Amino acid sequence: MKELELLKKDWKKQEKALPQYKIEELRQMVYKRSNSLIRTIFIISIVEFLLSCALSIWFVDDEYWQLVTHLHLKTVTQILLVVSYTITLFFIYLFYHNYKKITPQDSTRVLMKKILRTRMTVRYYIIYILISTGLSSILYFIFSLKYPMPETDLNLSGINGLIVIGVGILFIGVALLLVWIVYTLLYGILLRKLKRNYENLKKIDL
Amino acid sequence: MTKAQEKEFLKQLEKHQNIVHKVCKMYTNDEASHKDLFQEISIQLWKAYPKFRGDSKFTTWMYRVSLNTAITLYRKSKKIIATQDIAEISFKVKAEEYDTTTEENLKFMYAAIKELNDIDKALVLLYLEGKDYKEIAETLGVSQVNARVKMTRIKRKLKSLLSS
Repeated sequence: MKELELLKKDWKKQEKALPQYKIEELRQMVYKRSNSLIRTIFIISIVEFLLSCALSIWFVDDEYWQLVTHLHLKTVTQILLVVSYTITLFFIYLFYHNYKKITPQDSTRVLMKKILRTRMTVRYYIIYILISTGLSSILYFIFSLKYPMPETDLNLSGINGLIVIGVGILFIGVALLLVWIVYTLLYGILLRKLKRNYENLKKIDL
Repeated sequence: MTKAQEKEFLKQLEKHQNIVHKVCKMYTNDEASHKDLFQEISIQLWKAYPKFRGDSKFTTWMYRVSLNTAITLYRKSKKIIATQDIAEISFKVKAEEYDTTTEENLKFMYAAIKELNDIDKALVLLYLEGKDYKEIAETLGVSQVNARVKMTRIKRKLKSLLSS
Protein backbone atom coordinates (compact mmCIF):
# COMPACT_ATOMS: atom_id res chain seq x y z
CA MET A 1 0.00 0.00 0.00
CA LYS A 2 1.89 3.02 -1.24
CA GLU A 3 -0.18 5.45 0.87
CA LEU A 4 1.13 3.82 4.03
CA GLU A 5 4.71 4.22 2.90
CA LEU A 6 3.93 7.84 2.14
CA LEU A 7 2.39 8.17 5.57
CA LYS A 8 5.55 6.70 7.13
CA LYS A 9 7.67 9.26 5.32
CA ASP A 10 5.35 12.11 6.26
CA TRP A 11 5.37 10.93 9.88
CA LYS A 12 9.15 11.32 9.93
CA LYS A 13 8.78 14.84 8.53
CA GLN A 14 6.44 15.76 11.38
CA GLU A 15 9.47 15.70 13.70
CA LYS A 16 10.60 19.06 12.36
CA ALA A 17 7.43 20.74 13.61
CA LEU A 18 7.61 19.30 17.14
CA PRO A 19 8.25 21.67 20.06
CA GLN A 20 11.63 21.29 21.76
CA TYR A 21 12.03 21.75 25.51
CA LYS A 22 15.28 22.85 27.09
CA ILE A 23 16.87 20.87 29.94
CA GLU A 24 15.75 23.43 32.56
CA GLU A 25 12.12 23.18 31.38
CA LEU A 26 12.33 19.39 31.55
CA ARG A 27 13.82 19.54 35.05
CA GLN A 28 10.86 21.62 36.24
CA MET A 29 8.43 19.17 34.64
CA VAL A 30 9.80 16.01 36.23
CA TYR A 31 9.49 17.50 39.71
CA LYS A 32 5.82 18.40 39.25
CA ARG A 33 3.16 16.32 41.03
CA SER A 34 1.90 13.32 39.09
CA ASN A 35 -1.77 13.11 38.19
CA SER A 36 -1.66 9.42 37.30
CA LEU A 37 -4.40 6.85 37.77
CA ILE A 38 -2.18 4.86 40.14
CA ARG A 39 -1.64 7.82 42.42
CA THR A 40 -5.38 8.53 42.49
CA ILE A 41 -6.24 4.90 43.28
CA PHE A 42 -3.55 4.85 45.96
CA ILE A 43 -4.89 8.02 47.63
CA ILE A 44 -8.52 6.83 47.49
CA SER A 45 -7.56 3.44 48.92
CA ILE A 46 -5.56 4.95 51.77
CA VAL A 47 -8.53 7.22 52.58
CA GLU A 48 -10.82 4.15 52.56
CA PHE A 49 -8.54 2.25 54.93
CA LEU A 50 -8.09 5.23 57.25
CA LEU A 51 -11.78 6.08 57.23
CA SER A 52 -12.82 2.54 58.18
CA CYS A 53 -10.20 2.47 60.96
CA ALA A 54 -11.22 5.94 62.22
CA LEU A 55 -14.89 4.98 62.27
CA SER A 56 -14.26 1.85 64.31
CA ILE A 57 -12.06 3.79 66.78
CA TRP A 58 -14.65 6.58 67.03
CA PHE A 59 -17.49 4.14 67.75
CA VAL A 60 -15.66 2.09 70.35
CA ASP A 61 -15.85 4.30 73.45
CA ASP A 62 -16.95 3.69 77.09
CA GLU A 63 -20.61 4.08 76.20
CA TYR A 64 -20.19 1.47 73.47
CA TRP A 65 -18.65 -1.01 75.93
CA GLN A 66 -21.50 -0.40 78.39
CA LEU A 67 -23.96 -1.13 75.61
CA VAL A 68 -22.29 -4.37 74.44
CA THR A 69 -21.96 -5.53 78.05
CA HIS A 70 -25.69 -5.00 78.48
CA LEU A 71 -26.29 -6.96 75.26
CA HIS A 72 -24.14 -9.88 76.56
CA LEU A 73 -21.82 -9.37 73.57
CA LYS A 74 -18.65 -8.07 75.25
CA THR A 75 -16.49 -11.15 74.55
CA VAL A 76 -17.87 -11.52 71.03
CA THR A 77 -17.12 -7.82 70.34
CA GLN A 78 -13.56 -8.12 71.67
CA ILE A 79 -12.92 -11.14 69.41
CA LEU A 80 -14.52 -9.37 66.43
CA LEU A 81 -12.36 -6.27 66.92
CA VAL A 82 -9.11 -8.29 67.07
CA VAL A 83 -10.12 -10.26 63.96
CA SER A 84 -11.18 -7.07 62.16
CA TYR A 85 -7.91 -5.21 62.85
CA THR A 86 -5.88 -8.27 61.80
CA ILE A 87 -7.79 -8.54 58.52
CA THR A 88 -7.44 -4.79 57.86
CA LEU A 89 -3.69 -4.95 58.45
CA PHE A 90 -3.47 -7.94 56.12
CA PHE A 91 -5.34 -6.02 53.40
CA ILE A 92 -3.10 -2.97 53.83
CA TYR A 93 -0.03 -5.18 53.43
CA LEU A 94 -1.55 -6.88 50.35
CA PHE A 95 -2.51 -3.56 48.79
CA TYR A 96 0.91 -2.01 49.36
CA HIS A 97 2.64 -5.15 48.06
CA ASN A 98 0.59 -5.03 44.83
CA TYR A 99 1.03 -1.27 44.52
CA LYS A 100 4.82 -1.46 44.79
CA LYS A 101 4.94 -3.97 41.96
CA ILE A 102 3.31 -1.53 39.50
CA THR A 103 5.80 0.01 37.11
CA PRO A 104 5.24 1.70 33.75
CA GLN A 105 8.18 -0.18 32.26
CA ASP A 106 6.21 -3.43 32.17
CA SER A 107 4.46 -4.36 28.96
CA THR A 108 1.08 -2.61 28.58
CA ARG A 109 -0.80 -5.83 29.29
CA VAL A 110 1.17 -6.68 32.44
CA LEU A 111 0.80 -3.12 33.72
CA MET A 112 -2.97 -3.18 33.22
CA LYS A 113 -3.23 -6.57 34.94
CA LYS A 114 -1.28 -5.31 37.94
CA ILE A 115 -3.47 -2.22 38.30
CA LEU A 116 -6.62 -4.32 38.08
CA ARG A 117 -5.21 -6.72 40.70
CA THR A 118 -4.46 -3.84 43.06
CA ARG A 119 -7.93 -2.47 42.54
CA MET A 120 -9.38 -5.97 43.23
CA THR A 121 -7.63 -6.01 46.61
CA VAL A 122 -9.42 -2.81 47.57
CA ARG A 123 -12.66 -4.19 46.15
CA TYR A 124 -12.35 -7.35 48.31
CA TYR A 125 -11.64 -5.16 51.31
CA ILE A 126 -14.79 -3.13 50.71
CA ILE A 127 -16.82 -6.33 50.23
CA TYR A 128 -15.38 -7.65 53.51
CA ILE A 129 -16.25 -4.36 55.29
CA LEU A 130 -19.81 -4.37 53.95
CA ILE A 131 -20.47 -8.03 54.79
CA SER A 132 -18.89 -7.85 58.25
CA THR A 133 -20.70 -4.58 59.04
CA GLY A 134 -23.98 -6.06 57.80
CA LEU A 135 -23.63 -9.27 59.80
CA SER A 136 -22.49 -7.58 63.00
CA SER A 137 -25.27 -4.98 62.69
CA ILE A 138 -27.85 -7.75 62.40
CA LEU A 139 -26.29 -9.54 65.40
CA TYR A 140 -26.37 -6.38 67.56
CA PHE A 141 -29.85 -5.58 66.32
CA ILE A 142 -31.21 -9.02 67.29
CA PHE A 143 -29.51 -8.88 70.71
CA SER A 144 -30.84 -5.37 71.33
CA LEU A 145 -34.32 -6.78 70.82
CA LYS A 146 -33.56 -9.73 73.07
CA TYR A 147 -32.08 -7.52 75.80
CA PRO A 148 -33.82 -4.16 75.36
CA MET A 149 -32.49 -1.13 77.19
CA PRO A 150 -34.49 -0.50 80.41
CA GLU A 151 -35.70 2.94 79.27
CA THR A 152 -37.36 1.62 76.10
CA ASP A 153 -40.91 0.32 76.21
CA LEU A 154 -41.02 -1.41 72.83
CA ASN A 155 -43.77 -3.98 72.45
CA LEU A 156 -41.98 -6.71 70.51
CA SER A 157 -44.44 -9.54 70.91
CA GLY A 158 -45.89 -11.28 67.87
CA ILE A 159 -46.19 -9.33 64.61
CA ASN A 160 -44.72 -6.14 66.14
CA GLY A 161 -41.40 -7.88 66.75
CA LEU A 162 -41.27 -9.16 63.19
CA ILE A 163 -42.00 -5.69 61.78
CA VAL A 164 -39.26 -4.09 63.89
CA ILE A 165 -36.72 -6.77 62.83
CA GLY A 166 -37.81 -6.45 59.17
CA VAL A 167 -37.51 -2.65 59.15
CA GLY A 168 -34.18 -2.79 60.94
CA ILE A 169 -32.66 -5.29 58.50
CA LEU A 170 -34.06 -3.32 55.55
CA PHE A 171 -32.53 -0.11 56.89
CA ILE A 172 -29.09 -1.75 57.31
CA GLY A 173 -29.39 -3.31 53.84
CA VAL A 174 -30.26 -0.01 52.14
CA ALA A 175 -27.43 1.84 53.91
CA LEU A 176 -24.87 -0.79 52.84
CA LEU A 177 -26.27 -0.85 49.30
CA LEU A 178 -25.83 2.91 49.03
CA VAL A 179 -22.19 2.64 50.11
CA TRP A 180 -21.67 -0.09 47.50
CA ILE A 181 -23.28 1.98 44.71
CA VAL A 182 -21.16 5.05 45.49
CA TYR A 183 -18.04 2.88 45.61
CA THR A 184 -18.83 1.08 42.34
CA LEU A 185 -19.58 4.37 40.56
CA LEU A 186 -16.34 5.94 41.78
CA TYR A 187 -14.12 3.10 40.56
CA GLY A 188 -16.30 2.55 37.51
CA ILE A 189 -15.60 6.09 36.29
CA LEU A 190 -11.95 5.95 37.30
CA LEU A 191 -11.22 2.64 35.56
CA ARG A 192 -13.50 2.95 32.53
CA LYS A 193 -10.66 3.82 30.13
CA LEU A 194 -8.34 1.15 31.52
CA LYS A 195 -10.96 -1.60 31.28
CA ARG A 196 -11.90 -0.63 27.72
CA ASN A 197 -8.24 -0.67 26.65
CA TYR A 198 -7.59 -3.94 28.46
CA GLU A 199 -10.49 -5.57 26.59
CA ASN A 200 -9.16 -4.24 23.25
CA LEU A 201 -5.70 -5.54 24.07
CA LYS A 202 -7.03 -8.98 25.00
CA LYS A 203 -8.91 -9.14 21.69
CA ILE A 204 -5.59 -9.01 19.79
CA ASP A 205 -4.56 -12.33 21.29
CA LEU A 206 -7.90 -14.05 20.79
CA MET B 1 18.84 9.71 42.79
CA THR B 2 22.21 11.42 42.56
CA LYS B 3 22.81 14.72 40.76
CA ALA B 4 24.86 12.87 38.15
CA GLN B 5 21.98 10.46 37.46
CA GLU B 6 19.56 13.38 37.22
CA LYS B 7 21.85 15.14 34.78
CA GLU B 8 22.23 12.00 32.67
CA PHE B 9 18.47 11.40 32.66
CA LEU B 10 17.63 14.97 31.63
CA LYS B 11 20.26 14.84 28.89
CA GLN B 12 18.71 11.65 27.49
CA LEU B 13 15.19 13.04 27.80
CA GLU B 14 16.15 16.21 25.97
CA LYS B 15 17.87 14.24 23.23
CA HIS B 16 14.98 11.81 22.69
CA GLN B 17 12.04 14.09 23.55
CA ASN B 18 10.58 13.61 20.07
CA ILE B 19 9.46 10.12 21.14
CA VAL B 20 7.36 11.62 23.92
CA HIS B 21 6.05 14.36 21.64
CA LYS B 22 4.95 11.81 19.04
CA VAL B 23 3.08 9.79 21.66
CA CYS B 24 1.42 13.01 22.83
CA LYS B 25 0.49 13.90 19.24
CA MET B 26 -1.14 10.51 18.83
CA TYR B 27 -3.20 10.67 22.02
CA THR B 28 -4.15 14.31 22.46
CA ASN B 29 -6.16 16.77 20.46
CA ASP B 30 -4.97 20.17 21.58
CA GLU B 31 -1.87 21.97 22.67
CA ALA B 32 -2.71 22.17 26.38
CA SER B 33 -3.44 18.43 26.60
CA HIS B 34 -0.25 17.71 24.65
CA LYS B 35 1.79 19.60 27.23
CA ASP B 36 -0.08 18.01 30.14
CA LEU B 37 0.53 14.50 28.82
CA PHE B 38 4.16 15.34 28.04
CA GLN B 39 4.61 16.39 31.65
CA GLU B 40 2.98 13.24 33.05
CA ILE B 41 5.15 11.04 30.79
CA SER B 42 8.26 12.92 31.91
CA ILE B 43 7.31 12.36 35.56
CA GLN B 44 6.72 8.63 34.96
CA LEU B 45 10.03 8.32 33.07
CA TRP B 46 11.82 10.08 35.91
CA LYS B 47 10.19 7.87 38.56
CA ALA B 48 10.94 4.70 36.60
CA TYR B 49 14.51 5.72 35.71
CA PRO B 50 16.17 4.10 38.78
CA LYS B 51 14.69 0.77 37.63
CA PHE B 52 16.06 1.17 34.10
CA ARG B 53 18.82 -1.39 34.03
CA GLY B 54 19.96 -0.89 30.49
CA ASP B 55 18.76 -4.34 29.35
CA SER B 56 17.10 -2.57 26.45
CA LYS B 57 17.97 0.63 24.64
CA PHE B 58 16.98 3.86 26.38
CA THR B 59 14.68 4.72 23.47
CA THR B 60 12.92 1.32 23.61
CA TRP B 61 12.33 1.86 27.32
CA MET B 62 11.06 5.37 26.58
CA TYR B 63 8.49 4.14 24.05
CA ARG B 64 7.22 1.62 26.59
CA VAL B 65 6.87 4.03 29.52
CA SER B 66 5.43 6.78 27.30
CA LEU B 67 2.81 4.53 25.73
CA ASN B 68 1.88 2.98 29.07
CA THR B 69 1.39 6.42 30.53
CA ALA B 70 -0.75 7.59 27.61
CA ILE B 71 -2.86 4.42 27.43
CA THR B 72 -3.17 3.48 31.08
CA LEU B 73 -1.88 5.94 33.65
CA TYR B 74 -2.75 9.36 32.26
CA ARG B 75 -5.70 11.20 33.74
CA LYS B 76 -6.44 14.45 32.00
CA SER B 77 -5.96 17.38 34.32
CA LYS B 78 -9.19 19.19 35.14
CA LYS B 79 -7.51 22.54 34.56
CA ILE B 80 -7.08 21.89 30.84
CA ILE B 81 -9.22 23.85 28.45
CA ALA B 82 -8.94 22.80 24.83
CA THR B 83 -7.52 25.66 22.83
CA GLN B 84 -7.37 24.42 19.26
CA ASP B 85 -9.18 21.87 17.20
CA ILE B 86 -7.46 18.56 16.47
CA ALA B 87 -7.29 19.05 12.73
CA GLU B 88 -5.64 22.40 13.25
CA ILE B 89 -2.77 21.30 15.41
CA SER B 90 -2.31 17.55 15.25
CA PHE B 91 -0.86 16.31 12.00
CA LYS B 92 -0.05 19.08 9.64
CA VAL B 93 0.38 18.05 6.05
CA LYS B 94 2.44 20.60 4.20
CA ALA B 95 0.49 21.39 1.09
CA GLU B 96 3.43 22.63 -0.95
CA GLU B 97 5.16 19.23 -0.68
CA TYR B 98 2.38 17.11 -2.18
CA ASP B 99 -0.09 17.13 -5.02
CA THR B 100 -3.73 17.63 -4.05
CA THR B 101 -4.71 13.94 -4.06
CA THR B 102 -1.74 12.89 -1.92
CA GLU B 103 -2.36 15.75 0.46
CA GLU B 104 -6.03 14.77 0.77
CA ASN B 105 -5.12 11.10 1.30
CA LEU B 106 -2.63 11.94 4.04
CA LYS B 107 -5.10 14.20 5.81
CA PHE B 108 -7.70 11.49 5.55
CA MET B 109 -5.36 8.85 6.94
CA TYR B 110 -4.31 10.99 9.88
CA ALA B 111 -7.96 11.65 10.64
CA ALA B 112 -8.69 7.91 10.40
CA ILE B 113 -5.81 7.11 12.78
CA LYS B 114 -7.24 9.57 15.30
CA GLU B 115 -10.47 7.57 15.24
CA LEU B 116 -8.74 4.30 16.20
CA ASN B 117 -8.91 2.96 19.75
CA ASP B 118 -5.94 3.55 22.10
CA ILE B 119 -4.38 0.12 21.54
CA ASP B 120 -4.61 0.33 17.74
CA LYS B 121 -3.08 3.82 17.90
CA ALA B 122 -0.11 2.35 19.80
CA LEU B 123 0.35 -0.29 17.09
CA VAL B 124 0.20 2.32 14.34
CA LEU B 125 2.61 4.61 16.18
CA LEU B 126 5.20 1.86 16.64
CA TYR B 127 4.72 0.79 13.03
CA LEU B 128 5.22 4.34 11.74
CA GLU B 129 8.31 4.61 13.93
CA GLY B 130 9.69 1.61 12.03
CA LYS B 131 9.68 -0.81 14.98
CA ASP B 132 9.73 -4.52 14.18
CA TYR B 133 6.91 -6.80 15.30
CA LYS B 134 9.08 -8.34 18.02
CA GLU B 135 9.42 -4.94 19.71
CA ILE B 136 5.78 -4.01 19.09
CA ALA B 137 4.64 -7.31 20.63
CA GLU B 138 6.95 -6.95 23.65
CA THR B 139 5.88 -3.37 24.29
CA LEU B 140 2.18 -4.19 24.29
CA GLY B 141 2.46 -7.68 25.81
CA VAL B 142 0.82 -9.55 22.94
CA SER B 143 2.16 -12.32 20.70
CA GLN B 144 4.25 -11.35 17.69
CA VAL B 145 1.99 -13.20 15.25
CA ASN B 146 -1.14 -11.52 16.61
CA ALA B 147 0.48 -8.08 16.53
CA ARG B 148 1.24 -8.64 12.84
CA VAL B 149 -2.30 -9.89 12.15
CA LYS B 150 -3.78 -6.89 13.92
CA MET B 151 -1.56 -4.46 12.01
CA THR B 152 -2.56 -6.07 8.70
CA ARG B 153 -6.21 -5.54 9.67
CA ILE B 154 -5.59 -1.90 10.54
CA LYS B 155 -3.78 -1.35 7.21
CA ARG B 156 -6.67 -2.97 5.38
CA LYS B 157 -9.12 -0.78 7.28
CA LEU B 158 -7.19 2.37 6.37
CA LYS B 159 -6.99 1.25 2.74
CA SER B 160 -10.71 0.61 2.52
CA LEU B 161 -11.39 4.00 4.10
CA LEU B 162 -9.26 5.63 1.44
CA SER B 163 -10.86 3.81 -1.46
CA SER B 164 -14.43 4.37 -0.23
